[in-house]
Amino acid sequence: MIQARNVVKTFDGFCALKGTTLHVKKGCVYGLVGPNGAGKTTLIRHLTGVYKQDAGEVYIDGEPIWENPAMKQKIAYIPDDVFYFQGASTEDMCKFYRGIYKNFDIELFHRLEEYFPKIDRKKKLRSLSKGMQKQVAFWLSIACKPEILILDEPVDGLDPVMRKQVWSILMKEVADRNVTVLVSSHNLRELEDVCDHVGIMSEGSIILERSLADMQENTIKIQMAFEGEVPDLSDIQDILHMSHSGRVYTIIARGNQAGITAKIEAKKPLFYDLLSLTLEEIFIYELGGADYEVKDICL
Amino acid sequence: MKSKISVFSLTLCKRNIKVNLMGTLVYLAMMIYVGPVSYYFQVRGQSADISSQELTALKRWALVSWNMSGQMWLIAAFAVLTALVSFYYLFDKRANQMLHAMPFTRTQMFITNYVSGLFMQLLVLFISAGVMEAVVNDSMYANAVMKIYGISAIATVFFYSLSVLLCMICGVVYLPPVLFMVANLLYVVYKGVFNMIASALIYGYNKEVTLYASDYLDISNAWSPLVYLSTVNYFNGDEQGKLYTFPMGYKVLWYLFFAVLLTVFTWFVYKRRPAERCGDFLTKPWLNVAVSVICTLGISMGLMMAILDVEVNKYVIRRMGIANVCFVLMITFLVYLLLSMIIGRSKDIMRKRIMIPAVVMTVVCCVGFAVIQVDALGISKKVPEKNEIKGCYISTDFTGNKPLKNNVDETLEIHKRMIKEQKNIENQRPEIGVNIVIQYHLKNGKTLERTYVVPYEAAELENPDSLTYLVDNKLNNFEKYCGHLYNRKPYEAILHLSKFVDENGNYKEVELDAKGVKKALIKDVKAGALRMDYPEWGLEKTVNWPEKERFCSEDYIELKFASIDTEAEELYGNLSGYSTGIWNYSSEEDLNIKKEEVLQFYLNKKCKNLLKYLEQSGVKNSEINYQVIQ
Repeated sequence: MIQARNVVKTFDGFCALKGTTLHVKKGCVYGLVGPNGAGKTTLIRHLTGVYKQDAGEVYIDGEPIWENPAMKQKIAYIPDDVFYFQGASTEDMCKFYRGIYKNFDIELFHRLEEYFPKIDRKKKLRSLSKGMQKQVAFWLSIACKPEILILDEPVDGLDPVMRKQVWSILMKEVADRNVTVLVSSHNLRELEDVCDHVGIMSEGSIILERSLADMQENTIKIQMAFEGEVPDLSDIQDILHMSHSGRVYTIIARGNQAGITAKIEAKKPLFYDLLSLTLEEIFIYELGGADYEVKDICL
Repeated sequence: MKSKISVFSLTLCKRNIKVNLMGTLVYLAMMIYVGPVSYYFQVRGQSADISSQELTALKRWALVSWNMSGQMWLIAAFAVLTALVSFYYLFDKRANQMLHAMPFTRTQMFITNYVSGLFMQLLVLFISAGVMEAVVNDSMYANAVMKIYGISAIATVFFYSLSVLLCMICGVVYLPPVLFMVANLLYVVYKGVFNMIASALIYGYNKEVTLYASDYLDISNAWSPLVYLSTVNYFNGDEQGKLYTFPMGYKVLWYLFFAVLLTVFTWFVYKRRPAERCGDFLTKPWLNVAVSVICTLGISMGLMMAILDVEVNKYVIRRMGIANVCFVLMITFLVYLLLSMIIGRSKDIMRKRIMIPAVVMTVVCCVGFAVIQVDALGISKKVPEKNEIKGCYISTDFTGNKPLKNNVDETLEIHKRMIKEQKNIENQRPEIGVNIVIQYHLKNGKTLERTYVVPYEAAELENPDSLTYLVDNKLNNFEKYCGHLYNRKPYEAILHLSKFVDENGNYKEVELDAKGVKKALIKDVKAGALRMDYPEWGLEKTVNWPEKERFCSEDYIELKFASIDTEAEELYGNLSGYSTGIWNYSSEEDLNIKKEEVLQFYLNKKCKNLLKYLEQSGVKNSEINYQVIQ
């Protein structure tokens, strides 16, 4: 549904996207994660047709998105910082969206009002708080009945209740209409609950792109202790992280769970334990390999 | 495959009209005020008690005195404002992002915003023209009114297209208005500054600096559209009430052609405008270089002009020349680097992209200034061939700087002599000099003009080989300049006697027979007792006069003629100070009522015929207040 192939973008000599490749399947909820400055927003702006890539291709539903209003009709985009016209109310914006998006469903818009009870439709949007403006953005976007929702830091500024509310509306859309969602966020715990695919971005490239289940299955955390000296673990490939506290060693490794377990058992540890990783841990340890690890700070 | 979609979005258009509405209403109010309201209060408000003939004259003058310049600046200001409002999203990162992510093509956004913005402005002109026609309510002037609004409409299309283009190339909202002014005034400012520098450095070259073109005949000002359009639809009228439009007005149609070209180019630029440049000064890096170069050149030339303005004397300028040029070049280089830092928002200036244009521009400036400084183009030596000349005019201080037709051979002789004496003239720093402007109208339609200042001192006047002697002999000639009065009948002659002053400080006035005064005057002029004089050469300077025995009086006679010379109007206002000789001027109380030419001359003891005539008229010689020269 969404495809970016070898996208390159340079700003005044700084390469923001270095041949980025991304693929989001139809009906999938794709979480785009990465550290600050990784190029997530830049990539999203290419996917929504705001920026034109220097090289590479960006396709939506098999067609280039740049200057393609027919494809843009299928997309609703909520940026991290939403914009409304000067002096416009929710009703004014609704009229504007109705004139632009062919699938805009005014009945759905009215039905959704009950989910956003604190918003006065006639009040000027710029007088509302950032969180309430975000709620209006969701309201309008859902009413457009898009096939693709692209969200950049969507719940940033929303209170916990409204966050849950928004996610539940989104998930209902995915379930009912098979909407494809690409969401960029730093709130990995929330993403873990909603995403089925994740792409980790670092320094202008997608360094890891997999289904969340695959990712959690293929990255394991093992705690173990040995009698005497720790044996050579070099036969366990793709160790992302290793630390020890006394005689208890912790390793994070990428690979087949059964294979890694067999190798550890062969070294006869006093004990060992397999633990599942959260998305946040995977993010931290994967990026540790990309020189972005959490440093111990001594002040 | 891209889907077919309309190039116009009604929703976007409605939105644009809504945001432009308030500005458009203000614009309409102002246009109604400067046009119909102003006209109404000039004409209709006074029409109750006046005849139809007087009303026609009033209407004519109301149209002739229409403030076209003000209207054009208003049109330009609202064209820029409408462009900024219509394309505001290009300067707001969030709006830019949102609108470009929506299902529009750039072509659709451009056409919709451009057309809706233009529509609002043309609607204002259309309404104003309708109201104006209704207020004027005269078929005689209907065409003139339509011409005014027709030219205004063309100006609107051009200024709006230019403003939209500037919106496309700028990333910050305050830059398009600045660049709009630069684009509109660049040519006249550069031309003015260049002329000023060249006039200071090149012998004989002197062109008036017209930063705002009153010289509407100069078609080259069309490169400064706002200046040109402010003057091009000039009206004149005759006493029958008929209006004449300035014939070059039709050339304004070229602006429509260029507006179309600009619009197509702007659309092309918008399609390639990088959205990520929003917030930068300019949307393309090479534009930074272009704008820096234009601004730096302006600053350098301005600096050079300021230096030359301080060093008024050419003697000083010539000796300071190389030092001045070096100083300006150093400043040019530094200013370019500074502007590059500001526009590029970077302290890193030691880059090829900045240093190469800086060096190239400084070298070009250096060559440019050197060409002017050493007169490499030979401007100071240029004298046209006799067969190239259609007519010659010379204006001097003797004639109040009024250009008067002169003999070609005599003009060439004086001009060549001026060139020959260049070094002498430049090295002298005379207390008194006479300004001489030589103007050739060439057969190829061009005009060549040179200005010189000739020392005018006693010693030089006594030397028959001197340039001063030649100039005085050839150009200080009463019959040449005032000869046309010989055949005209004066209607009044008044003698002003300074010995008899009333309580208000006015001289006693004695009315004389005009015919008798004219007869005596001609005799004295032919005898050499009176001559044209240099007005700044007041009584206190007459000590330098070679004829030591000469006595001048404070008393003067005014001899008045009914004017038939329309050119004499131009002389009005040129009279100043005292004169030891004859001064010719004219005055007019009202353009419609009466014109007169007055010959004013001071008496001296050599005016034997006039003094004799005064005696016969009852004015005793002892009543005349002579100033005795020691």
